[in-house]
Amino acid sequence: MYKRYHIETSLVELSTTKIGKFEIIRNDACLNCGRCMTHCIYDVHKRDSDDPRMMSDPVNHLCKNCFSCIQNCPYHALEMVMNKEFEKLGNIYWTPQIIHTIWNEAEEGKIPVFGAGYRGPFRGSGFDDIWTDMSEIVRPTRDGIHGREYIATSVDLGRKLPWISDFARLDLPNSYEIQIPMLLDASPLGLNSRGIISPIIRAAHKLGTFAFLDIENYFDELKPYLKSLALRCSLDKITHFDQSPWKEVDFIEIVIPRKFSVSELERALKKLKSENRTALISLGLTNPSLSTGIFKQFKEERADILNFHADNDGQSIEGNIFICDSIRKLQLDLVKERMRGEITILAKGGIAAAEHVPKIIICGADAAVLDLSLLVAAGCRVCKVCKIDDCPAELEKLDPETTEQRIINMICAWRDQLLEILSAMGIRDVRRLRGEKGRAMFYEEIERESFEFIFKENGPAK
Amino acid sequence: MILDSSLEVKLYAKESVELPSILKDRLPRIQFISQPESIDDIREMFSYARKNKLSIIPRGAATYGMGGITPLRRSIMADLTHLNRILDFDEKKKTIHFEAGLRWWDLKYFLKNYSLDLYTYPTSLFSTVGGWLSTGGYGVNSFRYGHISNLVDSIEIVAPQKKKRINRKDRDFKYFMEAEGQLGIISKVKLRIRDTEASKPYLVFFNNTSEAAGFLSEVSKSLKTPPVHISYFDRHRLEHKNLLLNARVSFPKMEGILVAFEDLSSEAEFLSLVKRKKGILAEDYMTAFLWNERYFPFSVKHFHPSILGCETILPIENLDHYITKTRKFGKNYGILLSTEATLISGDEAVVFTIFPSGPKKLVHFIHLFLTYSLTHIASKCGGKPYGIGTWNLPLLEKKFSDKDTKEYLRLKKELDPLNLLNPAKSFSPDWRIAYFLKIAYSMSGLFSNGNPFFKPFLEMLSANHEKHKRSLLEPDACANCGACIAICPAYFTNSSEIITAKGKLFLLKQLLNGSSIPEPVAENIFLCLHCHLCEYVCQSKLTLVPVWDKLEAIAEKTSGRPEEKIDEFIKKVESHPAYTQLLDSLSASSNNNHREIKNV
Repeated sequence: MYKRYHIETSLVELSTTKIGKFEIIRNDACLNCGRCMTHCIYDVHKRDSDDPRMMSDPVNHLCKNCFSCIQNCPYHALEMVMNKEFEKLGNIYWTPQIIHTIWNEAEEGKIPVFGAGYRGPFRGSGFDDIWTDMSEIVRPTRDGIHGREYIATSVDLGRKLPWISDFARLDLPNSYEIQIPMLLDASPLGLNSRGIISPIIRAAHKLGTFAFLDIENYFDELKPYLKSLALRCSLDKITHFDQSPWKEVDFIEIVIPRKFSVSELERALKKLKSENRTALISLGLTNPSLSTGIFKQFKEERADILNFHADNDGQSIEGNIFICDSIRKLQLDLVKERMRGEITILAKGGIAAAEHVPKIIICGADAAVLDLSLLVAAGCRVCKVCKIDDCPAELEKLDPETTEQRIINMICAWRDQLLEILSAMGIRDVRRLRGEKGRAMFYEEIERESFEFIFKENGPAK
Repeated sequence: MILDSSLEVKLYAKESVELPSILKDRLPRIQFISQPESIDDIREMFSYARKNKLSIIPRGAATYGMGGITPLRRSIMADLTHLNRILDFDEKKKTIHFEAGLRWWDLKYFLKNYSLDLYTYPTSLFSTVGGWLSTGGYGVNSFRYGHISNLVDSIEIVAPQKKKRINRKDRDFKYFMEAEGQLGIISKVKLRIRDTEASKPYLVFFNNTSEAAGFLSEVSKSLKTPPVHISYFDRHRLEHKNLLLNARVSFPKMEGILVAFEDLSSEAEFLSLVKRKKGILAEDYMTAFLWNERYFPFSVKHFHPSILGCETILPIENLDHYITKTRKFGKNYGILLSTEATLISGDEAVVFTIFPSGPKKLVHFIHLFLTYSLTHIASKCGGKPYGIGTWNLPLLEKKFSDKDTKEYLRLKKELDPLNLLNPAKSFSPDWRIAYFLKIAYSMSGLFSNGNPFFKPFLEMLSANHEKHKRSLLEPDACANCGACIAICPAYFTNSSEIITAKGKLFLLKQLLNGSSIPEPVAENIFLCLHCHLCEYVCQSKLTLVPVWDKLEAIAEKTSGRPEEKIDEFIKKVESHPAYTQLLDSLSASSNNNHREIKNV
C-alpha cells in the first residue's frame, strides 16, 4: 500500500537552548492584571503557580518579538531589550539568529515564527545573495505542507544512464532514492564522540537518508545501521577495503587530498568496485575546479557522486569561494562536458538554514549534506573555539534519544519549508529545481548587469 | 446587597473625622448596610425601615467631615455608590443624565473620551455626585461657575412618600441642594457639561497675609475676564505641601495665591496686578504641582495621620483678620494651624483650617474641642458653616434663615412625614444632642482667645508624641477619600469596601487594637491582585502593598490561606467587564492623562 513519506516529530526541550533573542523586563509598575497573558500566544507570560495573584517572570526564550504584551500593557510595565546571552551565540556566519532558529526547529519540528515582521536587510552575502522565485505563492492546491497536491522531495543518488544503447542487456547502474534532498554528516566539526555520532546515524536511518562517517570513527554498535552509512576515508589513508564494514555499505566516499596521484586514486577505486559492486562511490572534493584526473574517474564510471566539501562557513578550503559559486561552477563544468545528467552533486559545508537547501539545489546540487547544523540542533552554540570538556551545551553528556529526535525535528521543519518554497514556485518535484538558475535572482549578477557600463574597468561595485 | 457583619458596618460608618470611642460607643447602632441598585431597591429599603422602626442614613463615599452619616437613631445605612449608571448622554446639548451614586472621577473619565469636561468638581474627586449635591457644592472652578446647583438641570428624588423630579427652575429646587439627605435620596441627576478647556494656573507669593488679602480682593473683582479658580494657601499650608517635596524644591515661607485661567485674555492685566501688588510669581513646576494637589487636600495625612479642622464660609475682607486670629490661637495652644481658602465669589471663600492632632486619646479629645473654638473664631469673623451635619448643629441659625427653615420643614413633611431619613440632624434636631453640642460649642468659645493654663497642659500630654510610631503603618493616615475604592479591581468582584485598601487599613487598625477578625472577613484580605493601583491614587501617598503582605501573613497564621477562593477570585476579576474597561481606560490614559491623577 502506498504510504506517504512522513517525519514523526515530537516536542523535545533542552535546558541549554533556553536563550531567547529578547529579554522582557517586568518592572514594578506591573498591575498583575493578566493582560500580557491574554495577549501572548507564545506562553511567555503566566501567573505565578504558587500565588496566582502575581505574574511570574516572563519566559523569555519563548518570546517571538511580536510586542503584543508591550503594546497591550495598560501601565507600561513591560519593556524589551536584546538578550546579551543571545548576542554571544555563534559567529559572523552562524549568526545568533540562525542558531536560535535551528534550536526552535529542533525543539518543535515546526516552521519557526518570527514576530513583528521582518525589517530587513533584504540581501546579504552568501546565501542571502540569492532571491528565490515566489511567483506561484497564491496557488491554493499546491499550498505547501497543507496542499492537496503532493510535492515530491525525494532525489536519486547515483549514476544515471546517458542513453540506452542495448535494450536487451539493460544494465542499470546503482542508484538509491532518498526521500529528502539532505544527507547528514555524523561527525561534524570532526568530533568523534559516540554520543553525537550514533544519534545522527540513527536519525539518518529513520529519515531514510545517508549519514557520512569517517572510517576511523566506526564502531561495531553501528552494524544495524550499515545501510544508512556513507563510509568515508581519505585517499591517503585507505586500507582494508576487503573487510567489513566496507563490503556491506551502500555508499562509500573517498576524500581527495590536496595532493594526490591519479593512478593511486584509480587503483583504489578499482579495488573498491571489485570488493563492493553495489555501493555508490563518491569523491569528496575540496577544490571546485575539476582536474582532468578526477574528471576521468567520472567519465570512466569509477565514481558516481561528486561531494563538494566547503568549510563550516561555506568557503572552499582552496581559494575561498563560497559554496554557491563553487557548486554553480561544478554544475556548469559538468554541463559543458555533457556529464551533468549522469552523476550526482552533493554540497557540504555552510548549510545553516532551511532555505539554504533549495538555494544550493538551484545552484546545481542534487542534495545538501548537513553537518554543523546537526550539532546546533543538539544544542551547540558554535563557539569560536570548541572545547568539548567545557562545552556550554554539554554536548558530551547529551541524551542520545533527545539528540536524535531533535535532529529529526529540525529536518522535518526544513523539509516543510522546502515544500513551502516549492509550492510558492509552482514546482511539484524537487528534482526539477536542480540547476534551475532561472528560479532565482543573484544579486551580484543583477548589480553587474545594471552597473557594468559604469564600472566596466573596475568591475562590479562592492 | 446587604452587608451585615459588624466589621463591615463599622467600616461603612467610618467618617473622615473619627470620634473618640467614648462618644462613638454611645451612638445608636447601624443595623446593616443596604446597597440599593435601583429605585425599587430604595423603596423596598424604605418599607423595611418603616416596618422595623429604623431610620435610613443615605451615604455616598463618606468623605464629608461634618458628621453627615453619624447615626443618631437606630438605622440602616444606604450605600448609594452602586446606583451609578450613566443613563443618557447628549453630546450636542452638552448634558449628561446619570444615577447619583456615580463618582465624580468616573464621570470626568467618561467625559474625557468625548473631549468633554465638568464645569466644577469637588476636590474630593472620589465622592459621589449625589453626595456633593447634598452637602458642599463648592470646589474647583467654583469661583467662575459658582455652586454646583447652577449646573444641575434636574434631579430625581426618591423619598419615602413619593418620587419627585425637580427642575432647576422649580421654586423648591434650591432646598434640595445641601439637604444632607434629609428630604430624600437623590437618585438621578442631569448635569450640564462642556468642552474640555485647558487651565493655566499661576501661583503668586506674598510676604504677609495683608498683602495677600489685598491682592485677593482685587484679583477677584478687577479683571475683565475673571479666572476660573482662586485659592489661597497660607504659609503653613504650603509648608504641609513641602513635606511631600524633596529638600531641593520647596515652597518659600510666604503666603501663596493660586489663580487658574481658562481664558487668557486678561493675562497681561493680571500680571501687571501681580507686579503692582508686589507679588512674586512662582516657578512653573511649583505652580503645576500645587494645581495638581487640588485633588489631594489631605495629602498631609501621610505625615500627620490625625488631622482635625474646620470648614467655614467667610467674607473675603475678613480673611486676613481670621488668619491672624487663628495663628495667635494656634500659638496659644501649641498647635500648627494651616489654612486654605477657595474663593466661591467676589465676596466669599470656603475656608478650610486644619491642624495635626496627636495619637493620644485625651489630646485628640481636647483637640476636637478646639476645632469648635476655631469655628467660633470664624463665626466672629462673619463666617457661617459650610455644612451642618452633626457637629455644626449649634450653628444652624447661621446657615438657614427662618424662611428657609420653614420651607425645609414643609418639604420634609411632604416627602418624609415619618422622618425616616437622616433623623435628628438639622431639620429635626434631637434636643438632647442639640443641647449637648450647644453647651460644648459655647464652652469652646471661652477658649477661642487662648487659655493660659491649657497650653502647658497640652504640651505635657503630647510630649512623647514621637515615640508612638508603629512598626507597620499608621492606619489613621488613610484620608478616607475613597480613591482606592473607585479603582480597586477586587471591588468589582465584591461590592463590599472591606476588600479595598480603605477596608484593609480598617482591618489593620482592628488588629493593631487587639481585636480579632472573623474568618469570613479575613478571607477578603487575600483577595488582592497586588496591582498597586491603590498606592498610585492614595491621597496620603501610603506605601500600601507591603502592608497587605504583612496583613496576609497575620491572617494566614490565624485562619489559613483560602487557595480556592483566591483562584476563583482571579477568574472572576479577569472575566469582569468592568475590569476590562478599567484596563482599557488605564492604557488609554497612561501615556499622559493619567499623570494628572497619579500623585507626583
